[in-house]
Amino acid sequence: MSALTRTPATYGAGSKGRVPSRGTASVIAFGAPLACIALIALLAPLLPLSNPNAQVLSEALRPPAWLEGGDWSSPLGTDQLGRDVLSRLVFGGQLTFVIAFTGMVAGAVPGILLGLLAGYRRGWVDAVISRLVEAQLALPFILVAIAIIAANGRSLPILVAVLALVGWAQYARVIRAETLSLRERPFVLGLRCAGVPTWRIMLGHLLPNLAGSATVLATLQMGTIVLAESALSFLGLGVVAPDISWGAMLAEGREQLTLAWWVALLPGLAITAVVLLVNLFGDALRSRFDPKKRSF
Amino acid sequence: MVAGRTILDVKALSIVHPGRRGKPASTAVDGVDLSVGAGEIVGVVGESGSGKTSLAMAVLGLGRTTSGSIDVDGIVPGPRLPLDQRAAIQMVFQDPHGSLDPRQSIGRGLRELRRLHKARTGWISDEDLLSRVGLSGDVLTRLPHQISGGQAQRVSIARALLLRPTLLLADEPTSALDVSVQAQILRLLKGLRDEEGLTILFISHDLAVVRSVCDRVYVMKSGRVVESGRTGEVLERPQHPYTQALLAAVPGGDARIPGLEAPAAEAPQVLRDELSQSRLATAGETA
Repeated sequence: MSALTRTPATYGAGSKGRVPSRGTASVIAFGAPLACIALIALLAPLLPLSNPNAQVLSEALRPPAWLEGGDWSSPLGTDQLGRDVLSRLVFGGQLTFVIAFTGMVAGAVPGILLGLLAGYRRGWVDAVISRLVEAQLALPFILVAIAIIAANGRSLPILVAVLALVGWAQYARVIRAETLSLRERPFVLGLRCAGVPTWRIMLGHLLPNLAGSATVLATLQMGTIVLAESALSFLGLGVVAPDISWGAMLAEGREQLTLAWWVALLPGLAITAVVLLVNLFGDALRSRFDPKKRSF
Repeated sequence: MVAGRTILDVKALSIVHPGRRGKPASTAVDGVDLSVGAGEIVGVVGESGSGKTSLAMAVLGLGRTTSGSIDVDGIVPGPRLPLDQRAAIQMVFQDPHGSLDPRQSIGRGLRELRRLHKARTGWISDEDLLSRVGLSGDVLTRLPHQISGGQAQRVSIARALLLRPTLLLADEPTSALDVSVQAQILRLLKGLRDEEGLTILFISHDLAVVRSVCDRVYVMKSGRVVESGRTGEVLERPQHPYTQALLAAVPGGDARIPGLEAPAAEAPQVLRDELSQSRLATAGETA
Protein backbone atom coordinates (compact mmCIF):
# COMPACT_ATOMS: atom_id res chain seq x y z
CA MET A 1 0.00 0.00 0.00
CA SER A 2 2.81 2.38 0.78
CA ALA A 3 4.12 1.87 -2.74
CA LEU A 4 0.81 3.01 -4.12
CA THR A 5 0.74 6.21 -2.11
CA ARG A 6 4.19 7.32 -3.12
CA THR A 7 4.17 10.42 -5.25
CA PRO A 8 5.95 10.58 -8.61
CA ALA A 9 8.51 12.89 -6.99
CA THR A 10 9.68 10.19 -4.58
CA TYR A 11 9.97 7.74 -7.46
CA GLY A 12 12.25 10.15 -9.23
CA ALA A 13 14.35 10.77 -6.14
CA GLY A 14 14.57 7.05 -5.45
CA SER A 15 15.91 6.17 -8.86
CA LYS A 16 18.40 9.02 -8.77
CA GLY A 17 19.68 8.09 -5.33
CA ARG A 18 20.75 4.61 -6.49
CA VAL A 19 24.21 5.65 -7.62
CA PRO A 20 25.92 2.50 -8.92
CA SER A 21 23.49 1.01 -11.44
CA ARG A 22 23.06 -2.75 -11.69
CA GLY A 23 25.26 -2.80 -14.76
CA THR A 24 28.17 -1.10 -13.02
CA ALA A 25 27.82 -3.35 -9.99
CA SER A 26 28.12 -6.54 -12.02
CA VAL A 27 31.00 -5.15 -14.06
CA ILE A 28 32.84 -4.65 -10.77
CA ALA A 29 31.67 -7.97 -9.33
CA PHE A 30 33.10 -9.96 -12.24
CA GLY A 31 35.88 -7.60 -13.23
CA ALA A 32 37.49 -7.39 -9.79
CA PRO A 33 38.27 -11.10 -9.28
CA LEU A 34 39.44 -11.29 -12.88
CA ALA A 35 41.73 -8.33 -12.35
CA CYS A 36 43.01 -9.93 -9.12
CA ILE A 37 43.84 -13.20 -10.86
CA ALA A 38 45.55 -11.35 -13.72
CA LEU A 39 47.48 -9.16 -11.30
CA ILE A 40 48.69 -12.10 -9.21
CA ALA A 41 49.77 -13.93 -12.39
CA LEU A 42 51.59 -10.91 -13.80
CA LEU A 43 53.32 -10.15 -10.48
CA ALA A 44 54.41 -13.78 -10.08
CA PRO A 45 58.19 -13.05 -10.09
CA LEU A 46 57.69 -10.64 -7.14
CA LEU A 47 55.71 -13.09 -5.01
CA PRO A 48 57.34 -15.37 -2.42
CA LEU A 49 56.92 -18.47 -4.55
CA SER A 50 59.37 -21.29 -5.07
CA ASN A 51 60.94 -21.72 -8.49
CA PRO A 52 58.19 -23.28 -10.65
CA ASN A 53 60.74 -25.37 -12.52
CA ALA A 54 62.77 -26.59 -9.52
CA GLN A 55 62.56 -30.38 -9.52
CA VAL A 56 62.77 -32.36 -6.27
CA LEU A 57 62.10 -35.95 -7.27
CA SER A 58 61.97 -37.16 -3.66
CA GLU A 59 59.04 -34.79 -3.11
CA ALA A 60 57.13 -35.91 -6.24
CA LEU A 61 53.32 -36.17 -6.21
CA ARG A 62 52.93 -34.78 -2.71
CA PRO A 63 49.19 -34.02 -2.15
CA PRO A 64 47.87 -30.54 -1.22
CA ALA A 65 48.52 -29.39 2.35
CA TRP A 66 45.02 -30.13 3.69
CA LEU A 67 45.19 -33.81 2.65
CA GLU A 68 46.97 -36.60 4.48
CA GLY A 69 50.65 -36.51 3.58
CA GLY A 70 50.46 -32.87 2.54
CA ASP A 71 52.90 -30.21 3.62
CA TRP A 72 52.52 -26.41 3.79
CA SER A 73 55.84 -25.99 1.98
CA SER A 74 53.86 -26.84 -1.16
CA PRO A 75 50.25 -25.81 -0.33
CA LEU A 76 48.70 -27.23 -3.51
CA GLY A 77 50.96 -30.27 -3.70
CA THR A 78 53.66 -31.19 -6.20
CA ASP A 79 53.64 -32.80 -9.61
CA GLN A 80 55.39 -35.90 -10.92
CA LEU A 81 58.76 -34.12 -10.95
CA GLY A 82 58.31 -32.66 -7.48
CA ARG A 83 57.62 -29.12 -8.74
CA ASP A 84 55.36 -26.89 -6.69
CA VAL A 85 51.85 -26.82 -8.23
CA LEU A 86 50.88 -23.46 -6.73
CA SER A 87 53.98 -21.79 -8.09
CA ARG A 88 53.42 -23.39 -11.50
CA LEU A 89 49.76 -22.30 -11.51
CA VAL A 90 50.71 -18.67 -10.86
CA PHE A 91 53.56 -18.60 -13.38
CA GLY A 92 51.45 -20.55 -15.88
CA GLY A 93 48.65 -18.01 -15.48
CA GLN A 94 51.07 -15.30 -16.53
CA LEU A 95 51.68 -16.80 -19.94
CA THR A 96 48.05 -17.86 -20.29
CA PHE A 97 46.87 -14.28 -19.76
CA VAL A 98 49.49 -12.78 -22.04
CA ILE A 99 48.63 -15.24 -24.82
CA ALA A 100 44.87 -14.77 -24.35
CA PHE A 101 45.14 -10.99 -24.45
CA THR A 102 47.54 -10.69 -27.38
CA GLY A 103 45.66 -13.38 -29.28
CA MET A 104 42.40 -11.55 -28.69
CA VAL A 105 43.79 -8.19 -29.83
CA ALA A 106 45.56 -9.72 -32.81
CA GLY A 107 42.27 -11.25 -33.94
CA ALA A 108 39.99 -8.37 -32.99
CA VAL A 109 41.75 -5.54 -34.81
CA PRO A 110 41.77 -7.01 -38.33
CA GLY A 111 38.43 -8.74 -37.75
CA ILE A 112 36.60 -5.59 -36.67
CA LEU A 113 38.14 -3.42 -39.40
CA LEU A 114 37.36 -5.94 -42.15
CA GLY A 115 33.82 -6.43 -40.84
CA LEU A 116 33.28 -2.68 -40.77
CA LEU A 117 34.63 -2.33 -44.29
CA ALA A 118 32.53 -5.20 -45.65
CA GLY A 119 29.34 -3.97 -44.01
CA TYR A 120 29.78 -0.35 -44.97
CA ARG A 121 31.13 -0.61 -48.52
CA ARG A 122 29.13 -3.71 -49.49
CA GLY A 123 29.49 -4.72 -53.15
CA TRP A 124 32.66 -6.52 -54.19
CA VAL A 125 34.54 -5.58 -51.00
CA ASP A 126 31.88 -7.37 -48.98
CA ALA A 127 31.90 -10.34 -51.37
CA VAL A 128 35.66 -10.81 -51.05
CA ILE A 129 35.74 -10.41 -47.26
CA SER A 130 32.69 -12.61 -46.73
CA ARG A 131 34.16 -15.45 -48.83
CA LEU A 132 37.39 -15.20 -46.83
CA VAL A 133 35.41 -15.40 -43.58
CA GLU A 134 33.47 -18.42 -44.79
CA ALA A 135 36.65 -20.14 -45.93
CA GLN A 136 38.23 -19.47 -42.54
CA LEU A 137 35.21 -20.76 -40.63
CA ALA A 138 35.04 -23.88 -42.79
CA LEU A 139 38.57 -24.94 -41.84
CA PRO A 140 38.84 -27.02 -38.67
CA PHE A 141 40.91 -25.00 -36.21
CA ILE A 142 43.10 -27.83 -34.87
CA LEU A 143 44.01 -28.88 -38.40
CA VAL A 144 45.05 -25.37 -39.35
CA ALA A 145 46.98 -25.02 -36.12
CA ILE A 146 48.82 -28.29 -36.61
CA ALA A 147 49.71 -27.35 -40.20
CA ILE A 148 51.01 -23.91 -39.28
CA ILE A 149 52.91 -25.02 -36.20
CA ALA A 150 54.38 -28.02 -37.99
CA ALA A 151 55.62 -25.77 -40.77
CA ASN A 152 56.95 -22.95 -38.59
CA GLY A 153 57.96 -24.65 -35.38
CA ARG A 154 56.66 -23.91 -31.92
CA SER A 155 57.10 -20.37 -30.70
CA LEU A 156 55.07 -17.77 -28.90
CA PRO A 157 54.54 -15.42 -31.89
CA ILE A 158 53.41 -18.35 -34.05
CA LEU A 159 51.00 -19.45 -31.31
CA VAL A 160 49.49 -15.95 -31.05
CA ALA A 161 49.19 -15.77 -34.84
CA VAL A 162 47.38 -19.11 -34.91
CA LEU A 163 44.99 -17.98 -32.18
CA ALA A 164 44.35 -14.67 -34.00
CA LEU A 165 43.53 -16.65 -37.11
CA VAL A 166 40.80 -18.45 -35.20
CA GLY A 167 39.27 -15.24 -33.91
CA TRP A 168 39.23 -12.70 -36.73
CA ALA A 169 36.52 -14.39 -38.78
CA GLN A 170 34.08 -14.32 -35.87
CA TYR A 171 34.62 -10.60 -35.37
CA ALA A 172 34.37 -9.88 -39.07
CA ARG A 173 31.11 -11.79 -39.38
CA VAL A 174 29.36 -10.23 -36.38
CA ILE A 175 30.62 -6.69 -37.03
CA ARG A 176 29.68 -6.90 -40.70
CA ALA A 177 26.11 -7.90 -39.84
CA GLU A 178 25.79 -5.09 -37.30
CA THR A 179 27.29 -2.56 -39.68
CA LEU A 180 24.84 -3.58 -42.40
CA SER A 181 21.91 -2.61 -40.20
CA LEU A 182 23.61 0.42 -38.64
CA ARG A 183 24.52 2.02 -41.96
CA GLU A 184 20.84 2.18 -42.92
CA ARG A 185 20.04 4.39 -39.92
CA PRO A 186 19.21 7.94 -41.00
CA PHE A 187 22.02 9.47 -38.95
CA VAL A 188 24.57 7.90 -41.30
CA LEU A 189 22.82 9.50 -44.25
CA GLY A 190 22.73 12.77 -42.32
CA LEU A 191 26.49 12.63 -41.77
CA ARG A 192 27.11 11.85 -45.43
CA CYS A 193 24.88 14.75 -46.30
CA ALA A 194 26.95 17.01 -44.04
CA GLY A 195 30.05 15.91 -45.93
CA VAL A 196 31.64 13.85 -43.14
CA PRO A 197 34.29 11.66 -44.82
CA THR A 198 33.62 7.94 -45.08
CA TRP A 199 36.52 6.86 -42.88
CA ARG A 200 35.32 9.21 -40.17
CA ILE A 201 31.77 7.87 -40.36
CA MET A 202 33.18 4.35 -40.03
CA LEU A 203 35.67 4.96 -37.24
CA GLY A 204 34.07 7.91 -35.46
CA HIS A 205 30.39 6.98 -35.61
CA LEU A 206 29.87 3.34 -36.55
CA LEU A 207 32.71 1.90 -34.44
CA PRO A 208 31.54 3.51 -31.15
CA ASN A 209 28.07 2.18 -31.84
CA LEU A 210 29.52 -1.29 -32.36
CA ALA A 211 31.73 -1.09 -29.28
CA GLY A 212 29.22 -2.99 -27.16
CA SER A 213 29.08 -6.02 -29.44
CA ALA A 214 32.81 -5.85 -30.08
CA THR A 215 33.58 -5.87 -26.36
CA VAL A 216 31.24 -8.75 -25.64
CA LEU A 217 32.70 -10.67 -28.54
CA ALA A 218 36.24 -9.88 -27.44
CA THR A 219 35.68 -11.18 -23.92
CA LEU A 220 33.93 -14.29 -25.21
CA GLN A 221 36.83 -14.78 -27.62
CA MET A 222 39.27 -14.44 -24.76
CA GLY A 223 37.56 -17.38 -23.12
CA THR A 224 37.74 -19.34 -26.35
CA ILE A 225 41.42 -18.48 -26.76
CA VAL A 226 42.27 -19.67 -23.26
CA LEU A 227 40.58 -22.94 -24.16
CA ALA A 228 42.24 -23.13 -27.58
CA GLU A 229 45.65 -22.45 -26.10
CA SER A 230 45.02 -25.15 -23.51
CA ALA A 231 43.95 -27.56 -26.24
CA LEU A 232 47.06 -26.82 -28.31
CA SER A 233 49.35 -27.16 -25.31
CA PHE A 234 47.54 -30.34 -24.34
CA LEU A 235 48.32 -31.69 -27.81
CA GLY A 236 51.91 -30.60 -27.43
CA LEU A 237 51.57 -27.84 -30.05
CA GLY A 238 51.49 -24.89 -27.72
CA VAL A 239 53.76 -23.75 -24.99
CA VAL A 240 57.13 -25.51 -24.68
CA ALA A 241 58.91 -26.31 -21.38
CA PRO A 242 60.39 -24.52 -19.49
CA ASP A 243 57.54 -22.09 -20.30
CA ILE A 244 54.37 -22.95 -18.42
CA SER A 245 50.74 -22.53 -19.32
CA TRP A 246 47.64 -24.02 -17.77
CA GLY A 247 46.98 -26.12 -20.84
CA ALA A 248 50.50 -27.56 -20.71
CA MET A 249 50.05 -28.36 -17.00
CA LEU A 250 46.79 -30.09 -17.79
CA ALA A 251 48.52 -32.17 -20.44
CA GLU A 252 51.35 -33.19 -18.15
CA GLY A 253 48.98 -33.97 -15.31
CA ARG A 254 46.69 -36.31 -17.20
CA GLU A 255 49.03 -39.28 -16.83
CA GLN A 256 48.85 -38.98 -13.04
CA LEU A 257 45.08 -38.47 -12.93
CA THR A 258 44.38 -41.71 -11.04
CA LEU A 259 47.35 -41.28 -8.67
CA ALA A 260 47.42 -37.53 -8.11
CA TRP A 261 44.27 -35.75 -9.30
CA TRP A 262 45.45 -32.34 -8.12
CA VAL A 263 48.14 -32.07 -10.78
CA ALA A 264 45.56 -31.96 -13.60
CA LEU A 265 42.45 -30.81 -11.77
CA LEU A 266 43.83 -27.55 -10.38
CA PRO A 267 44.90 -26.04 -13.73
CA GLY A 268 41.60 -27.32 -15.15
CA LEU A 269 39.71 -25.47 -12.43
CA ALA A 270 41.77 -22.35 -13.07
CA ILE A 271 40.90 -22.43 -16.78
CA THR A 272 37.20 -22.98 -16.01
CA ALA A 273 37.09 -20.18 -13.44
CA VAL A 274 38.85 -17.65 -15.67
CA VAL A 275 36.78 -18.48 -18.77
CA LEU A 276 33.57 -18.26 -16.76
CA LEU A 277 34.57 -14.96 -15.18
CA VAL A 278 35.61 -13.53 -18.53
CA ASN A 279 32.26 -14.48 -20.07
CA LEU A 280 30.24 -13.03 -17.20
CA PHE A 281 32.39 -9.91 -17.34
CA GLY A 282 31.66 -9.59 -21.06
CA ASP A 283 27.94 -9.85 -20.43
CA ALA A 284 28.12 -7.23 -17.69
CA LEU A 285 30.08 -4.91 -19.98
CA ARG A 286 27.45 -5.27 -22.66
CA SER A 287 24.67 -3.98 -20.47
CA ARG A 288 26.96 -1.23 -19.22
CA PHE A 289 27.84 -0.19 -22.76
CA ASP A 290 24.27 0.14 -23.94
CA PRO A 291 23.77 3.94 -23.87
CA LYS A 292 20.09 3.52 -23.01
CA LYS A 293 20.96 1.65 -19.83
CA ARG A 294 23.63 4.07 -18.77
CA SER A 295 22.69 5.96 -15.63
CA PHE A 296 23.53 9.60 -15.01
CA MET B 1 5.22 33.22 -53.92
CA VAL B 2 8.52 35.07 -53.97
CA ALA B 3 9.29 36.06 -57.51
CA GLY B 4 12.99 35.49 -56.85
CA ARG B 5 15.37 33.06 -58.43
CA THR B 6 14.79 29.36 -58.70
CA ILE B 7 16.73 27.36 -56.12
CA LEU B 8 15.81 23.82 -57.07
CA ASP B 9 15.23 22.99 -60.70
CA VAL B 10 14.47 19.37 -61.57
CA LYS B 11 13.98 18.69 -65.27
CA ALA B 12 12.61 15.46 -66.78
CA LEU B 13 14.14 13.43 -63.98
CA SER B 14 13.85 9.66 -64.24
CA ILE B 15 15.18 7.13 -61.78
CA VAL B 16 15.17 3.44 -62.61
CA HIS B 17 16.35 1.02 -59.95
CA PRO B 18 17.92 -1.92 -61.78
CA GLY B 19 16.42 -5.32 -61.05
CA ARG B 20 18.47 -7.67 -58.92
CA ARG B 21 18.57 -11.45 -59.11
CA GLY B 22 15.91 -11.84 -61.77
CA LYS B 23 13.60 -9.15 -60.46
CA PRO B 24 12.59 -6.64 -63.15
CA ALA B 25 13.91 -3.09 -62.99
CA SER B 26 11.52 -0.69 -61.31
CA THR B 27 10.93 2.89 -62.29
CA ALA B 28 10.81 5.02 -59.15
CA VAL B 29 10.66 8.42 -60.78
CA ASP B 30 9.38 8.90 -64.32
CA GLY B 31 10.00 12.22 -66.02
CA VAL B 32 9.42 14.60 -63.15
CA ASP B 33 9.68 18.36 -63.59
CA LEU B 34 9.77 20.33 -60.38
CA SER B 35 10.98 23.70 -59.25
CA VAL B 36 11.30 25.52 -55.96
CA GLY B 37 11.85 29.25 -55.76
CA ALA B 38 13.92 31.01 -53.13
CA GLY B 39 12.05 31.26 -49.84
CA GLU B 40 9.34 28.86 -50.92
CA ILE B 41 8.05 25.81 -49.12
CA VAL B 42 7.03 23.29 -51.75
CA GLY B 43 5.32 20.03 -50.89
CA VAL B 44 5.66 16.68 -52.59
CA VAL B 45 2.70 14.46 -51.70
CA GLY B 46 2.08 10.85 -52.52
CA GLU B 47 1.58 7.46 -51.03
CA SER B 48 4.42 5.06 -50.19
CA GLY B 49 6.22 3.92 -53.30
CA SER B 50 5.28 6.98 -55.31
CA GLY B 51 8.92 7.92 -55.74
CA LYS B 52 9.12 10.71 -53.16
CA THR B 53 12.15 9.33 -51.35
CA SER B 54 14.02 8.40 -54.54
CA LEU B 55 13.49 11.97 -55.65
CA ALA B 56 14.82 13.31 -52.35
CA MET B 57 17.91 11.10 -52.44
CA ALA B 58 18.63 12.23 -55.99
CA VAL B 59 18.30 15.91 -55.02
CA LEU B 60 20.63 15.22 -52.10
CA GLY B 61 23.14 13.76 -54.55
CA LEU B 62 23.29 10.46 -52.71
CA GLY B 63 20.81 8.56 -54.82
CA ARG B 64 20.65 7.21 -58.32
CA THR B 65 19.55 9.25 -61.32
CA THR B 66 18.91 7.67 -64.68
CA SER B 67 18.15 10.64 -66.88
CA GLY B 68 17.14 14.26 -66.62
CA SER B 69 18.84 16.97 -64.63
CA ILE B 70 18.87 18.46 -61.15
CA ASP B 71 20.20 21.89 -60.37
CA VAL B 72 20.39 23.35 -56.87
CA ASP B 73 21.34 26.99 -57.23
CA GLY B 74 24.11 26.16 -59.68
CA ILE B 75 25.17 22.93 -57.99
CA VAL B 76 24.64 19.59 -59.67
CA PRO B 77 24.17 17.17 -56.77
CA GLY B 78 26.35 14.07 -56.87
CA PRO B 79 28.18 11.69 -54.57
CA ARG B 80 31.50 13.57 -54.81
CA LEU B 81 30.58 17.18 -54.19
CA PRO B 82 33.15 19.54 -52.70
CA LEU B 83 32.51 20.04 -48.99
CA ASP B 84 31.11 23.53 -49.36
CA GLN B 85 28.63 22.52 -52.05
CA ARG B 86 27.67 19.43 -50.05
CA ALA B 87 26.70 21.66 -47.14
CA ALA B 88 24.38 23.69 -49.37
CA ILE B 89 21.81 20.88 -49.51
CA GLN B 90 20.70 19.57 -46.13
CA MET B 91 18.02 17.17 -45.04
CA VAL B 92 15.79 16.53 -42.06
CA PHE B 93 14.55 12.98 -41.68
CA GLN B 94 11.42 11.31 -40.45
CA ASP B 95 12.85 9.44 -37.46
CA PRO B 96 14.03 12.12 -35.02
CA HIS B 97 16.08 9.85 -32.79
CA GLY B 98 17.44 7.81 -35.69
CA SER B 99 18.86 10.96 -37.29
CA LEU B 100 21.31 11.49 -34.44
CA ASP B 101 24.28 9.29 -33.55
CA PRO B 102 23.12 7.55 -30.34
CA ARG B 103 26.58 7.80 -28.79
CA GLN B 104 27.34 11.40 -29.58
CA SER B 105 26.14 14.21 -27.35
CA ILE B 106 24.32 17.02 -29.12
CA GLY B 107 27.18 19.44 -28.42
CA ARG B 108 29.85 17.07 -29.69
CA GLY B 109 27.82 16.54 -32.87
CA LEU B 110 27.68 20.28 -33.49
CA ARG B 111 31.42 20.62 -32.80
CA GLU B 112 32.12 17.93 -35.38
CA LEU B 113 30.16 19.88 -37.99
CA ARG B 114 31.98 23.08 -37.03
CA ARG B 115 35.39 21.43 -37.41
CA LEU B 116 34.42 20.15 -40.82
CA HIS B 117 32.91 23.39 -42.11
CA LYS B 118 34.98 26.05 -40.33
CA ALA B 119 34.15 28.95 -42.64
CA ARG B 120 30.48 28.12 -42.96
CA THR B 121 29.56 27.64 -39.33
CA GLY B 122 31.17 30.63 -37.62
CA TRP B 123 28.04 32.75 -37.95
CA ILE B 124 26.29 31.57 -34.81
CA SER B 125 27.07 30.16 -31.38
CA ASP B 126 25.65 26.82 -30.23
CA GLU B 127 23.35 28.55 -27.75
CA ASP B 128 21.98 31.01 -30.29
CA LEU B 129 21.52 28.24 -32.82
CA LEU B 130 19.57 26.14 -30.35
CA SER B 131 17.45 29.06 -29.18
CA ARG B 132 16.60 29.69 -32.82
CA VAL B 133 14.97 26.25 -32.96
CA GLY B 134 13.40 26.72 -29.54
CA LEU B 135 15.84 24.71 -27.40
CA SER B 136 17.91 25.76 -24.44
CA GLY B 137 21.66 25.26 -24.09
CA ASP B 138 21.36 22.37 -21.65
CA VAL B 139 20.57 19.88 -24.41
CA LEU B 140 24.19 20.26 -25.56
CA THR B 141 25.43 17.79 -22.96
CA ARG B 142 22.64 15.28 -23.58
CA LEU B 143 22.71 12.12 -25.61
CA PRO B 144 19.93 11.66 -28.17
CA HIS B 145 18.00 9.15 -26.04
CA GLN B 146 17.86 11.69 -23.21
CA ILE B 147 15.77 14.16 -25.19
CA SER B 148 12.24 13.87 -26.55
CA GLY B 149 11.31 13.20 -30.15
CA GLY B 150 10.29 16.81 -30.69
CA GLN B 151 13.57 18.06 -29.21
CA ALA B 152 15.55 15.61 -31.33
CA GLN B 153 13.79 16.86 -34.45
CA ARG B 154 14.66 20.44 -33.45
CA VAL B 155 18.27 19.37 -33.03
CA SER B 156 18.21 17.84 -36.51
CA ILE B 157 16.86 21.09 -37.90
CA ALA B 158 19.53 23.03 -35.97
CA ARG B 159 22.28 20.78 -37.39
CA ALA B 160 20.98 21.49 -40.90
CA LEU B 161 20.66 25.23 -40.23
CA LEU B 162 24.19 25.46 -38.87
CA LEU B 163 25.51 24.75 -42.37
CA ARG B 164 23.39 27.57 -43.86
CA PRO B 165 21.83 25.43 -46.57
CA THR B 166 20.42 26.98 -49.72
CA LEU B 167 17.92 24.12 -49.84
CA LEU B 168 16.48 22.12 -46.98
CA LEU B 169 14.86 18.80 -47.76
CA ALA B 170 12.36 17.69 -45.16
CA ASP B 171 11.36 14.05 -45.59
CA GLU B 172 8.25 13.47 -43.48
CA PRO B 173 9.76 15.55 -40.67
CA THR B 174 6.67 15.34 -38.48
CA SER B 175 5.29 11.86 -39.19
CA ALA B 176 6.92 10.30 -36.14
CA LEU B 177 5.76 13.03 -33.75
CA ASP B 178 2.49 13.46 -31.93
CA VAL B 179 0.08 16.10 -33.11
CA SER B 180 0.91 18.96 -30.74
CA VAL B 181 4.66 18.57 -31.35
CA GLN B 182 3.92 18.30 -35.07
CA ALA B 183 2.38 21.75 -35.02
CA GLN B 184 5.39 23.19 -33.16
CA ILE B 185 7.87 21.78 -35.67
CA LEU B 186 5.79 23.00 -38.59
CA ARG B 187 5.55 26.46 -37.05
CA LEU B 188 9.32 26.39 -36.61
CA LEU B 189 9.91 25.51 -40.27
CA LYS B 190 7.47 28.19 -41.39
CA GLY B 191 9.13 30.71 -39.09
CA LEU B 192 12.56 29.90 -40.49
CA ARG B 193 11.24 30.47 -43.96
CA ASP B 194 9.59 33.77 -43.00
CA GLU B 195 12.55 35.12 -41.02
CA GLU B 196 15.56 33.71 -42.82
CA GLY B 197 14.17 32.99 -46.25
CA LEU B 198 14.95 29.29 -45.98
CA THR B 199 13.90 27.29 -49.03
CA ILE B 200 12.28 23.98 -48.19
CA LEU B 201 11.26 20.97 -50.23
CA PHE B 202 8.75 19.26 -48.01
CA ILE B 203 8.03 15.59 -48.62
CA SER B 204 5.01 14.11 -46.96
CA HIS B 205 2.09 11.77 -47.27
CA ASP B 206 0.12 13.81 -44.77
CA LEU B 207 -2.22 16.23 -46.50
CA ALA B 208 -3.01 18.11 -43.30
CA VAL B 209 0.67 18.88 -42.77
CA VAL B 210 1.20 19.85 -46.39
CA ARG B 211 -1.83 22.12 -46.34
CA SER B 212 -0.60 23.95 -43.28
CA VAL B 213 2.95 24.74 -44.43
CA CYS B 214 3.36 24.48 -48.19
CA ASP B 215 2.93 27.32 -50.67
CA ARG B 216 2.80 24.98 -53.63
CA VAL B 217 2.37 21.25 -53.89
CA TYR B 218 3.21 18.48 -56.33
CA VAL B 219 1.12 15.31 -56.15
CA MET B 220 3.07 12.20 -57.16
CA LYS B 221 1.75 8.81 -58.12
CA SER B 222 3.87 5.92 -59.41
CA GLY B 223 6.82 8.18 -60.10
CA ARG B 224 4.90 10.84 -62.04
CA VAL B 225 3.62 14.23 -61.03
CA VAL B 226 -0.12 14.00 -61.60
CA GLU B 227 -1.09 17.41 -60.33
CA SER B 228 0.65 20.54 -59.13
CA GLY B 229 -0.20 24.07 -58.19
CA ARG B 230 -0.85 26.32 -55.22
CA THR B 231 -1.63 24.22 -52.14
CA GLY B 232 -5.04 25.74 -51.53
CA GLU B 233 -6.18 25.24 -55.09
CA VAL B 234 -4.93 21.69 -55.42
CA LEU B 235 -6.38 20.54 -52.11
CA GLU B 236 -9.69 22.42 -52.35
CA ARG B 237 -10.37 21.74 -56.01
CA PRO B 238 -8.40 18.66 -56.96
CA GLN B 239 -8.52 17.94 -60.68
CA HIS B 240 -6.87 14.54 -60.82
CA PRO B 241 -8.81 11.49 -59.59
CA TYR B 242 -5.76 10.40 -57.56
CA THR B 243 -5.66 13.66 -55.63
CA GLN B 244 -9.38 13.37 -55.05
CA ALA B 245 -8.89 9.84 -53.75
CA LEU B 246 -6.07 10.98 -51.45
CA LEU B 247 -8.25 13.72 -50.03
CA ALA B 248 -11.19 11.39 -49.60
CA ALA B 249 -8.96 9.02 -47.64
CA VAL B 250 -8.28 11.61 -44.93
CA PRO B 251 -10.44 10.77 -41.90
CA GLY B 252 -12.91 13.52 -41.11
CA GLY B 253 -12.35 15.05 -44.54
CA ASP B 254 -10.87 18.25 -43.12
CA ALA B 255 -7.13 17.89 -43.34
CA ARG B 256 -5.81 20.50 -40.96
CA ILE B 257 -3.34 20.76 -38.12
CA PRO B 258 -4.91 22.43 -35.10
CA GLY B 259 -3.35 25.81 -34.42
CA LEU B 260 -1.90 26.22 -37.90
CA GLU B 261 -3.79 27.92 -40.69
CA ALA B 262 -3.42 27.20 -44.34
CA PRO B 263 -1.44 29.87 -46.18
CA ALA B 264 -4.01 30.52 -48.89
CA ALA B 265 -7.41 29.69 -50.30
CA GLU B 266 -9.38 29.01 -47.15
CA ALA B 267 -12.51 26.95 -47.51
CA PRO B 268 -15.73 28.95 -47.14
CA GLN B 269 -16.67 29.41 -43.49
CA VAL B 270 -19.95 27.48 -43.87
CA LEU B 271 -18.16 24.43 -45.20
CA ARG B 272 -15.59 24.51 -42.39
CA ASP B 273 -18.31 24.72 -39.75
CA GLU B 274 -20.05 21.81 -41.32
CA LEU B 275 -16.86 19.78 -41.36
CA SER B 276 -15.95 20.53 -37.76
CA GLN B 277 -19.50 19.60 -36.72
CA SER B 278 -19.32 16.32 -38.54
CA ARG B 279 -15.97 15.71 -36.85
CA LEU B 280 -17.54 16.39 -33.44
CA ALA B 281 -20.35 14.03 -34.31
CA THR B 282 -17.90 11.28 -35.19
CA ALA B 283 -15.99 11.85 -31.99
CA GLY B 284 -19.26 11.60 -30.04
CA GLU B 285 -20.09 8.30 -31.65
CA THR B 286 -16.80 6.71 -30.83
CA ALA B 287 -16.76 7.98 -27.23
